[in-house]
Amino acid sequence: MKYLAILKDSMREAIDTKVFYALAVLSLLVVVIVGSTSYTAVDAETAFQSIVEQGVFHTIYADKGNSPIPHGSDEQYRVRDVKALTQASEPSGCDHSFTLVVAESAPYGFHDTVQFWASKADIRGKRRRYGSDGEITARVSDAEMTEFLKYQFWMAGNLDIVEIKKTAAVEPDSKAKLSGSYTFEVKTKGHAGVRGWRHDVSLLFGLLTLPPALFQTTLSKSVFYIENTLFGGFGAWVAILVGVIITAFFIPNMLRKGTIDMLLAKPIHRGTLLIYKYIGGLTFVFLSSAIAIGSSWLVLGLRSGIWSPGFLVMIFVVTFFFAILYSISTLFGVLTRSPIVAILATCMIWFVLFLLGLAYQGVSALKKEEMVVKEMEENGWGWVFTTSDVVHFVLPRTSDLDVLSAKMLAQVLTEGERKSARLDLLPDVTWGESLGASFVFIAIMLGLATWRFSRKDY
Amino acid sequence: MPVIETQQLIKNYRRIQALKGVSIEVEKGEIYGLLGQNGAGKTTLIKVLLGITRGWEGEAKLLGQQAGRPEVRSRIGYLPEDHQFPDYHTGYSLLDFYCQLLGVSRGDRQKRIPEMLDKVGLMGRMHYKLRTYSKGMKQRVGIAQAMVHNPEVIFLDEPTDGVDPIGRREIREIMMRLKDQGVTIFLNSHLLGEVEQICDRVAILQKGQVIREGSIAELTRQRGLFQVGLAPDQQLPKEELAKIGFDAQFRGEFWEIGLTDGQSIDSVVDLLRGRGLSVRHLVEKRQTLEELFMKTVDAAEPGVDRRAIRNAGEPGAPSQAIRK
Repeated sequence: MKYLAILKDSMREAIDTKVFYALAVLSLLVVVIVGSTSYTAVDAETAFQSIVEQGVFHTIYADKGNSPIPHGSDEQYRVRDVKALTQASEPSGCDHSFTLVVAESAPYGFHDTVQFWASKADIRGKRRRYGSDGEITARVSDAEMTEFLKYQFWMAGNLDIVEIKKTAAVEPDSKAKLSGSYTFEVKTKGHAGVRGWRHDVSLLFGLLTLPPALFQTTLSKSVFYIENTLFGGFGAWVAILVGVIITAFFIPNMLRKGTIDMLLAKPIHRGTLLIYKYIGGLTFVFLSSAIAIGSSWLVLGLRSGIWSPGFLVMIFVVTFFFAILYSISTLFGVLTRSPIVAILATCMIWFVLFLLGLAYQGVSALKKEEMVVKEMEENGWGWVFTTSDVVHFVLPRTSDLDVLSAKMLAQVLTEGERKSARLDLLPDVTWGESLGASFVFIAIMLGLATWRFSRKDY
Repeated sequence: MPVIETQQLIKNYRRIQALKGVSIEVEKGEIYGLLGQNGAGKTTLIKVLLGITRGWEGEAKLLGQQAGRPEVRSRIGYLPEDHQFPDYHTGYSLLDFYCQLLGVSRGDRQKRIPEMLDKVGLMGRMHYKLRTYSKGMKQRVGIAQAMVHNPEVIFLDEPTDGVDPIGRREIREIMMRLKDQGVTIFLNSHLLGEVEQICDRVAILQKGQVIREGSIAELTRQRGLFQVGLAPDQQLPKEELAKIGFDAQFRGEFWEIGLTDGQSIDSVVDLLRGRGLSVRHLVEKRQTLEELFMKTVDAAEPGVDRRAIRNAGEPGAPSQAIRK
């Protein structure tokens, strides 16, 4: 009963603030936007041309897509003569054939791109394009070209190419500075689902069509973007910040002279009182998240047909992320009795954790490139890896939660999309370790806060 | 067994001694008043008893248990001085919140809260936010929350602060009713007239020490000073009284006769009767509690009016004394 009383009291306090209503209106607005978003599958020709025009198709990773370092390619790709080979209710379900023309912007540019993709990258990612005499050395076979194109179409466009062969070519001449062009005949196999097919996106139930150049993407990517970026990234950030601001007042307000006396005169231990107040703040954020994410999950599922259980897990992820920050806020609230100090200290530590998390992700990505690791160690930079690991080990894992939730939400993506999003470059963190380390941090913060609160005269 | 008992209670705030060996006993059903200047240690004493302040020495018991233990607090009501109730509550929800912390069942809460708010005159406003309440109304809510769970002991720190005269009378009446029900009330107040009206016993605290304690009757009685009144047109034989060692002075309507050690008022009465005079008025003169307080505090440390100097260094006092 005491816990419920304090919880209810915390809710009253939160609802009394104007910030809460601002958050509620914002959440409602997002839910309305998500709920009114329509997705329309584009025709096959538009879809295939769109695939080869997007930036992902022109981004090359060495080591057959496994290197962490991206490089651009400037070939021009053109799709023509698209034909449906089978019948299906959705274009994504049909087998197709089309002609692909690759035009180089410089002699042997396409050879160079394919060779780079197939090779191991060195630390600076140099393309080994020219020999010592200045002669272009890149030469790839037709089989290597088709292997590359199959991979790019799979990674960037979810296309399952069952047959591809080079049918014509204008060979390049480096001395004459003549660029080459290559023609391929391609056959694809249809998929049962539509999530990997490109869709146009419109808002307000089709009233406002978003520019295809910016927003035309696969259904799964749209859903992933909404879940991971809009809610998991920006939305969660705003919600947690607002949560931090609202709840930062809970403890200092409770500790005001004339208020704390009343509470301490009640039959409840001080530690229990503080922990209940802390849980009250968490419950507020949990309920707010549950309403916002739960309703968005519902409307998103209804509109897109993609029901992602991982998105619902975000309710707990957001709450746990907030729990880490709120433990900091609680400690500073007890120490200073100032909500402003509690907010500033929390945001500052949050920012530091964010920067350290980014640094750790960067270092982790580098660690996946053996050549990079070897070269850095040879140059005396090996301590970067050790320091990064130690700092990551002792601090709460806010960045791990971002990584883990991104990986979890990425389950809606196709395999190729997951590869193109380079989730494999994210650090190899586990839920158990991340939650455990963060729990320890929360326990230390709350332990210190409780210790201080229990011994202070009011 | 005393309901409240302290023995040589000492409480220091770092280098400041707030309580210097306070020993008091409060019996069940008493209204006990604690008087003292600001910073004398009155609120500290209550806070020690309730466990709001820790790190004290000596002995302090409440309802037979060591002071500060959470278990005993469900039997206690408390209204602090300068209370700040969360203004997002209504009068009703505030009492409901505190009652839940006190472990009062839902059924009892639903019954008692409206009753209590009615008793303090807030029935019509019980669902309004506290931020819309006047100071007097907040004080009434405070009193209601201190009583709503039927506590055995109630600590009231300046309960009538900000309340209008009619409200004060109502609060005094409530306290008297609680006393009749056997509730013990521990009252801190600067309103000495009020304390005099309702308290059974009082203690005067000065710089953390009890300098006087006793019943109101005991403390206000002025030993050896009598008021004597004769029938109309009769004159007091002042010279004859002086011859046998009594000094009589006419003040107001009556003669005041002071006794020195070993003297008895009986000698005066015998002389007057022997002269055929009719004694119509004879009482041992009392002083008001305020007079007693001023005298006691001044006697304990002369020059009490120089507050800035006296209070320097005490809790809540200015950091620098102003000397004139």
